[in-house]
Amino acid sequence: MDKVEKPSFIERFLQLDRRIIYTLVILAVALPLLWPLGLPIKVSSEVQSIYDTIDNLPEGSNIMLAADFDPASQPELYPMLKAVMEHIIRKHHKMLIVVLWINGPNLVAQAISELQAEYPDWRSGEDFAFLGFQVGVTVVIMSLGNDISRTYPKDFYGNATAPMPIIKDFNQLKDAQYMVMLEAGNSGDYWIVYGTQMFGIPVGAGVTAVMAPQYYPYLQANQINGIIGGLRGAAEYEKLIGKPGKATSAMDSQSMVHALIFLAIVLANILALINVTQKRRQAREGK
Amino acid sequence: MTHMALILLQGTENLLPWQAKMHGFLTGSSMVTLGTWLAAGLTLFMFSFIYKDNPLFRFGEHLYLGVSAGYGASMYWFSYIKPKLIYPLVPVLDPHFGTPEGTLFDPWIIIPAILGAFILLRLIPGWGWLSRITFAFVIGGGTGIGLPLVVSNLFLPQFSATIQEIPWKYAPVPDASLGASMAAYGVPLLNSLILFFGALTVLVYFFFSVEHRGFIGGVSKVGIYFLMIAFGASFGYTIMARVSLLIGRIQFLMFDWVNLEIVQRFAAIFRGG
Repeated sequence: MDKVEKPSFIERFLQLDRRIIYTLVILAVALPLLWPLGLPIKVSSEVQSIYDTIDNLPEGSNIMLAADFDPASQPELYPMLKAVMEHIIRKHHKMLIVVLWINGPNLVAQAISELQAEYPDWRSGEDFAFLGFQVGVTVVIMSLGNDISRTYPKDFYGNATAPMPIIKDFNQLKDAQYMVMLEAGNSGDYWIVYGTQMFGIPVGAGVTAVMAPQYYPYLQANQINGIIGGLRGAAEYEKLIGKPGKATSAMDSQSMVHALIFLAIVLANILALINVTQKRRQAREGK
Repeated sequence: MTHMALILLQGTENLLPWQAKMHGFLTGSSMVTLGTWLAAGLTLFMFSFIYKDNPLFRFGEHLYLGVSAGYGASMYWFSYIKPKLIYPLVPVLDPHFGTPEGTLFDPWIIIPAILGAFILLRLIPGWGWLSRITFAFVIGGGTGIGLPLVVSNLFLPQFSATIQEIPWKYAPVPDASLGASMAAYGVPLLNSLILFFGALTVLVYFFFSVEHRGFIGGVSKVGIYFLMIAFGASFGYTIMARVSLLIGRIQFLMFDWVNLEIVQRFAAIFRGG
């Protein structure tokens, strides 16, 4: 009988059960959540730019906030939404919130109720209006450019928008001094083409990490003035407003998993290279 | 559960007794607890795929799709079909009927309603051709509105930004050393040139009317390297996004479902915090 050759250590390592890697990833996420490492968070110029714009606007300025995401991107965009909204509230700006994604409005409603518990003087209809969801992305954006109260006759809670004090000075998209769009998809493209570029409104984008590379060309072309990218961007914004939240607490886990994946890629490539070299040498010697 | 209550009761300012009861039931603490346990259980069902494919994962997957579709349909019904189609045609059905906030009768709504119904006729053999009228209207209108705006607000700013950002003229920075001044000029210049040649070489790579040999072949090869760098950056960001979702779920399991803040406090005591 032929002797079956045992696989080498390298071969066994290269055929590692994927479940071991999954377990290591879960540990790399869970352990820093229990025992935070407190790794530093450096604020990028892209995030700083959005923060500075909101911070430097005169008190009572009009800001349009588009929250175009749903629960699938909640871990990244919800902390961003809360941080940006809280900053706007602290600066006493007026804010209109719209949603172009059908499964998104309740996340905004949740953020509003959490912030209202902290800021009881922040009133619907006066300081902000949550207009909710409306079908037809392009048509909605263009219609907001004409008449906001006609586009959204009622807000998310069923109140008529026309008599609201906030609508008196903020009834067209061009009345906005700044816009922040939080995007999990390509609705941001529509906001830029049919909204902000048309009416000359400066805009900042908060996007999921997957979408971030798609939005950098807009930043380079000055079509947006900043990007809050993924969980990392949300953590940076939380740092800027001085209120660490869920994004900040997740950054240690994020860094640990990245380090683990980096090590795994480097190690697997080195071992694969050694394996191939060994096999070639064995083949030559066999000849 | 709270979301479900909001959907069911959306648009009603003064709740009827049964609605108030339902609202209280759905937003009550026991239902919130049940909701958390349900979400935790379904999360674990989905994670069970990590071990191997199994009926629990399949159940969770199908339930998610069904609930998402149902939730979306209810949102369309309450936030669009009712206020935009039904109330303008039959204002009596509007809860605000007879008040200044009530919807007014609008017979013109019948035209988009008929056009919308034409799309559904695709399901009936022999009547499907009517949907072409609607599609012709949507595509024609969409293209007519979109084309000039996309060219002026997307293509042209992106084209011009490729060259516009190149600092063609050297301007010394006041009160700075020659080295600092050169760096302030050189770095943006280098970045702009990389961007410009990157865009150019990638465009050459996607130009298939000429055979990619000789000079064109060399340029398109450089374009491939630029594409590879872009894909690498995208891949890195994608990993970050997927890990963020995992962190979100594990945060939920650890702190909303199993209250591990107690463990954290003990850990802080051991660390001397």
